[in-house]
Amino acid sequence: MRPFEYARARDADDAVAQFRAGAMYLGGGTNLVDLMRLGVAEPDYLVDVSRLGGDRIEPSGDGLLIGAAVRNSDLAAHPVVRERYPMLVRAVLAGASGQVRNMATVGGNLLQRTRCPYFQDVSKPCNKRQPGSGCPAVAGDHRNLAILGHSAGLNAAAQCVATHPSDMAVALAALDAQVRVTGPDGSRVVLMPGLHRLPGDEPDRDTVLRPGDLITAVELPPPPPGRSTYRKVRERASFAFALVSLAAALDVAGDGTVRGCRLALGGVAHLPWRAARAERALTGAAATADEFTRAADAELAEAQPGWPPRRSPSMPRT
Amino acid sequence: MEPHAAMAVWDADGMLTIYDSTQGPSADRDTIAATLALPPERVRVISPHVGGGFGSKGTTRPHAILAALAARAVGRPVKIALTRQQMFDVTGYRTPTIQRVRLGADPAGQLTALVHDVVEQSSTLVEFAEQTATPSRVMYAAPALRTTHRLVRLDVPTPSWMRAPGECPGMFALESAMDELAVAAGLDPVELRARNEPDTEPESGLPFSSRNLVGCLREGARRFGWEHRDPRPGVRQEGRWLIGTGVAASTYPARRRPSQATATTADGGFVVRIAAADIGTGARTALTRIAAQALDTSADRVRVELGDSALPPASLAGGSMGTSSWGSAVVKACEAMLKDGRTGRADTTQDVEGDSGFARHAFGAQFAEVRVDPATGEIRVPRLLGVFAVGRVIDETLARSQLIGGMTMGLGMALMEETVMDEEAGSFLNHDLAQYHIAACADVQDIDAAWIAEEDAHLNPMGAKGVGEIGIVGTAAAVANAVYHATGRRIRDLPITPAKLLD
Repeated sequence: MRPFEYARARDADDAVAQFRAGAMYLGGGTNLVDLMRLGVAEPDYLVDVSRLGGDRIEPSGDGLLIGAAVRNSDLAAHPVVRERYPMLVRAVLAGASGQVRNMATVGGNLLQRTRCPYFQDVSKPCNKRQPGSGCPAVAGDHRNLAILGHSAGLNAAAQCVATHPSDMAVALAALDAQVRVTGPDGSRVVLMPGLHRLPGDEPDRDTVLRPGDLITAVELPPPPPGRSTYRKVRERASFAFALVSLAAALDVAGDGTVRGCRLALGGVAHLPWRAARAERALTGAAATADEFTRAADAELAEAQPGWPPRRSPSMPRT
Repeated sequence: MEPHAAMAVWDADGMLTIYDSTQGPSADRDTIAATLALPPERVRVISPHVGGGFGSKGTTRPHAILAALAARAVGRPVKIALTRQQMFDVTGYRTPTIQRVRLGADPAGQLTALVHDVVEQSSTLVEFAEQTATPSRVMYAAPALRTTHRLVRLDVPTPSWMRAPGECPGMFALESAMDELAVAAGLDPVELRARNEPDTEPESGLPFSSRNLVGCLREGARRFGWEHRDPRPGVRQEGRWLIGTGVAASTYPARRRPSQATATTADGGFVVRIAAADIGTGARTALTRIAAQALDTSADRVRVELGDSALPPASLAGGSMGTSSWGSAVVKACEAMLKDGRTGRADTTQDVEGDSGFARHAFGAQFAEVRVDPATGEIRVPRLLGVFAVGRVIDETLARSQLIGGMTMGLGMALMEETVMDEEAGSFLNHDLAQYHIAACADVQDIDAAWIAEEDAHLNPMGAKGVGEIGIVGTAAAVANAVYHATGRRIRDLPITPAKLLD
């Protein structure tokens, strides 16, 4: 780990004022410190933003305002969140482990980096880590990487098939959350899932944030009507990223038709994937397995796992 | 758990002391001395507590030599602790295996032929041959029996021992094949194995020192509720889950190696010294009990010193031979001390050389219940049971821990463990515990291990068989067989991940 200086900001404006080239904001450190140990992130100046007072959850109109420094476990335990936004609670609790959730902040969770093994290994080329160096995942092991919105079709110097690993972000995308940001150029609101980008030809940029931008809060509009949940599929029962996950809210009328729905997929793209095509296909349709399948097929029509699967070993005949 | 780490200190007289994390201080000392061209008495390895080894600390690893060289170069103590990522490349791994099993049987399920062919890898530096098909030489009576191993040297790190080398991968193939035979023959899989019980060890013709596989199968079946099992695959469903149960046999050799020990009276009690290694197995506790029994005294009057190459030389903690090897020496030393009155010394080299004429193996039966979500391919294992015949159990808590620990490792082997090699770079991609998945608390639900009584006078003074490795041996096949029973899909490629069930 490269030596670094550490400073605590007094408030958001102070944090932004302290930011400079080579600086990074530090929340709970549950991803950033790992990246520093791996040599993937090498800040020489850390500005601790975990104690700016942004650790409250309060009503905001008919919705909720969640401070960026709220710990993941506190978010999932909050009685109003549990009652009104069960999808978000389940998503947060599906992530990491209890110990990690106690430290991780909401802001940090949104900004965590991909777990693509090539990105995390500084001995490998990686267009996200070092633009132009190549993407070994395309020809290598990409079984857990992106199938939607990736840039494997671009030239080698721009390709990227990384996925965003956050469960919480998938739920926030389905809930139309709004991310409050402040920075050197002032304050603004970014609507989820638009905080995160498709890789395009700039895979090194995970989000639309600019250097020095600081997430201060996440605002939730009133929850969508109907039932909602978060389902995470993985081969291990805990402490594993999703093979695929789904945040879903379904409002079904008395006659069995879908009045409205929200669907977002995790583990499939560079950002939490709002399944807009599936939502359109399902709205007004009957809430049956066949319709769900049709909607899923519509959404995944453009999915491109695309590359040759890993060879399965075979026994030479003797 | 504890990464490979060593701290090297040279004193003014050129004596090297290395605090190393090793499964065998004596062997480690010998290797380090030979590598540095030092007489063995100029090197001391101290390793009182080891945070797990599982085979990877059974041979000296580069970090220990590097620590010694660096300490000599800078003239100060030097400590090296490998990162988890580094461990994957330099501390060994279990070779992948490609196995083919062919079973021939008559309509009553009696085997007529058993062929087990293996292809596996080693490096271009060192020939390491995983003894994969060897359990097929032990398990079942088959008049025609053939095993082959083919080894290819690749530009890869050298494989090494990993819990139950040989038996672990080999029994996955054999016990999966036996399950397929049971299905083909229309026989209950427990019954099929009972029908193929050999009188003597199939390959050598030697009598077994003791063998109670069938007893384990019957007792396990009783405890697991096997009697009312509907053998048809894919018929049992609860909510969104398909449910299946599976059984597999397990085996591991029960041998011992020469070791030395001393026993001495001291401070109103006794001190036993032996360069054994406690790698988290509780060897200290086991040896204290063994000594106390041999001395006919209480355990609190016995102190065991181990983990230091300055102590009487001892064999490795490995091959499930630790307790049997060291216990033999400790008992003999205690008996010598009782004769002498103050001190006794033992060397079991002659005794061990006399250990011929019998086939010595522990056996067990592994049962698993799985739930499979057919929409996603997710597999969960709500019940795992192992019933074993392991001779006399020295300490019940320690034995149970080793058995369920092995079974837990087998669960990971079945469902999630896989090192992915990047073929471009020749290195392991998923080289940390975030990406290399092992079974964690949430994956292990109802897990239990039990043993049946077994007397064996041909093993060692304690009548004990090792328990450290047999738990992993049958587990992956039991789980895979249960997955077949739940889904009708036979997966022969580990780990059985959701994608393989959805293919």
